[in-house]
Amino acid sequence: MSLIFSFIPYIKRLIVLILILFGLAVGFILSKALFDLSIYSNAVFDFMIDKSSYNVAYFSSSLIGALGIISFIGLVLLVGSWVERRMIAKFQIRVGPNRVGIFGLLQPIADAIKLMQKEVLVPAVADKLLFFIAPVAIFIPAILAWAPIPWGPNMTYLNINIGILYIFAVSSLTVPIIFFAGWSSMNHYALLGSMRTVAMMVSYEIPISLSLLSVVIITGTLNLTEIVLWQSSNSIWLGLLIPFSLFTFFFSSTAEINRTPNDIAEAESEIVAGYHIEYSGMKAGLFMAVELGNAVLLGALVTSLFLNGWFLFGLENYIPPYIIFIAKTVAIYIVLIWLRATLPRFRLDQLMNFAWKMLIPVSIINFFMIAIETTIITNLDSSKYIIYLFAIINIAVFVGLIILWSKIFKIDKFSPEKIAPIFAQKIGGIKAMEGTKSVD
Amino acid sequence: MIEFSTYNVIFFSISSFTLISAISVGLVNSLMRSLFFLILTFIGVAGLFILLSADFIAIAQLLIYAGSISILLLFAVMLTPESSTNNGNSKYFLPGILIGIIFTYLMVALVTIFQFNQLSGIHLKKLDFDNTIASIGELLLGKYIIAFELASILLLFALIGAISIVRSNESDFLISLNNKDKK
Amino acid sequence: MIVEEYFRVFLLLILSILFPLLPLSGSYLFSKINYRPFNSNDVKSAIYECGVESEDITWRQFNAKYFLYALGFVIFDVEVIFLFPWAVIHSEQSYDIFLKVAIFVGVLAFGLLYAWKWRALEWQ
Repeated sequence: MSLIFSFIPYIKRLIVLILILFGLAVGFILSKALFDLSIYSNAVFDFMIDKSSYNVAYFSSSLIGALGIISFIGLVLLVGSWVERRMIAKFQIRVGPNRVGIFGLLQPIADAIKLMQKEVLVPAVADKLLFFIAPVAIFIPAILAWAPIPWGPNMTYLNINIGILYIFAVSSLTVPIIFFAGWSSMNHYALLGSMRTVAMMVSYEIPISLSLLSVVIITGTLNLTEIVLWQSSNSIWLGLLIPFSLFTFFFSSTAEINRTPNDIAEAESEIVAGYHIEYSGMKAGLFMAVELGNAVLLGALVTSLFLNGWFLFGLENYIPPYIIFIAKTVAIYIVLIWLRATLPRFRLDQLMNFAWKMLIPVSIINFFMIAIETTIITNLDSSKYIIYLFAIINIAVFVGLIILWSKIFKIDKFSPEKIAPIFAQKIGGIKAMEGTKSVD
Repeated sequence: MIEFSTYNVIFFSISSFTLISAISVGLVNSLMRSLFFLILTFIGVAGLFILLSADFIAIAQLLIYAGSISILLLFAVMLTPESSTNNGNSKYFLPGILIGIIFTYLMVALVTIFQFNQLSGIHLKKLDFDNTIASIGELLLGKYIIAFELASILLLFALIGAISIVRSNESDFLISLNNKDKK
Repeated sequence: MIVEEYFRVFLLLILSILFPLLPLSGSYLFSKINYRPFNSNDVKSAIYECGVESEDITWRQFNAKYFLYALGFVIFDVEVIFLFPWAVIHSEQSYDIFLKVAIFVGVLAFGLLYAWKWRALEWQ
């Protein structure tokens, strides 16, 4: 009897768990057709083409896809902030938000309402036009970059031949907007923060483009859907075949979207909040939201470029492919949260040196090696298994290059005795400052 | 006679957007605001390239001009010592107007005198531009290989020039070498 | 049809401008029903500097080092744009295409090494 009573505090959770499982089951049954927007889109197109002109039909069928993407981003912004706060709390052995709604699920909505009713302060010296435009405009690259993402077979909103370059070009527009945000508030910290951020983001765009280049060399296409299909037809994940590109892309992208370990943009301990220090109320909330959306976008990009998109060992025949895609995306997002909870922030000079002296030269070596391998693969034309051999070679070279670079160029030379401060008792006084050795 | 078609409506709206932002670049007082309008102009030009079915060129325009050249200009503006938000009064006002008029005349003359390839958007629609980037690649590494290689040398010169701008005085370099030897 | 494809970008562009305006208009509505405070004064509208009054104008001359990084970025960006058309057709070509690209990238890698040698990549 006491056993039953001991379960009573958990009954609420149990009911919620059962409800969630039930909802998932219903969702799986329904979702095969329910969320596949391409079906609706084609249906609307077929319906409208009889009634009116081609342009109207095309417009209305496109609108469904666009609204689908927008609503997905809205959902991600709401759920993602809850997930992030709960996960970080778990990492730090706290509880996290759990008051508003079940498990605190309504916390993001409460946050949004709180941000909306806050007083909006605009500095008197600010450039009013750019100060208003920046938080709105920063959403444009963040949302436009979602367009060519392949959610599943025939589920691409924008199926263009230059998908990768499109995403790269559109997201490079974030850099000037961040600068305008920092400059227009006319704050010393904000201007310094945006200058540093721009210098860092600009440096890390080169390794990103070089790592994308090696993807394109192997697959021979810029279309994201075709890249996913290439991986499934050769039955290898590109992340295994070219591990250095995956590493470069992932690490550099964290710099691009201002996540730890590279969140130099908002180094609280150095420049208060970086480029969005003067923003208050909903405008500050928009900057935070865009950061979160970009993190999920990075997950989607890594999934489709390196992790074989919607394919998962034949499982895509049984459950809807886009669910696999979203699951992989969320997995990458959780890795980002994990990194945020684990790693400290790098210094700016460390980051710049890492980009220019490590990532760029090694990326150049990497894509040359991959070009040679691709030439061998296409010209030998003997067996399919040579690709697995190259995967093993590439992983070995990836590890070897990092060790070689750190040994020869002494980038990661860490000597604890050199930077450890000498304690006051050791020198018999409180003049600890004189006894410490400088870092360089 | 301009016919009223969807393509023309799109063309004139994009080009008017581009022109208005291009004019604002010159008319706005603040340097940063004019940079903002310059980025809008670049984006508008990318839209015009799309209308010509040149998607790779449009993306290159977006990447190189709106993404990179604008950053270069931005840092160049931040290098200027006495720039403020008010740049209305300049001693180069009259020469600037004069140069502008001359260039406008030259552009109009060029457009009217030369016979360009007269394919508008409607005709381009009939041509099937399936994969522009592959055909560009084949041309770049086949017919125009010399230009391709020369481009790399041009870029190298730009890099060396930038280094020599930053390290303008030799002594700075020597001092850093000396410090390196001491260590 | 390229123009039709990119019409979808335009559609998403309009929606992406409207998307952040939605919470901003919610914020505006809160001020309409006098729920959001709006009483700015000199202290509130001063720029935030950890409580210290701001001195000097914000716009000061920055280091030329930033310009070097931006120029390096432009150069490598242009290089990458040149390399993408090669990357697309690379798998269909024979060995001699490799030499052409090796010269192109080699020249720029030399530039990177030159910058490294001249200690232009040191961030201070």
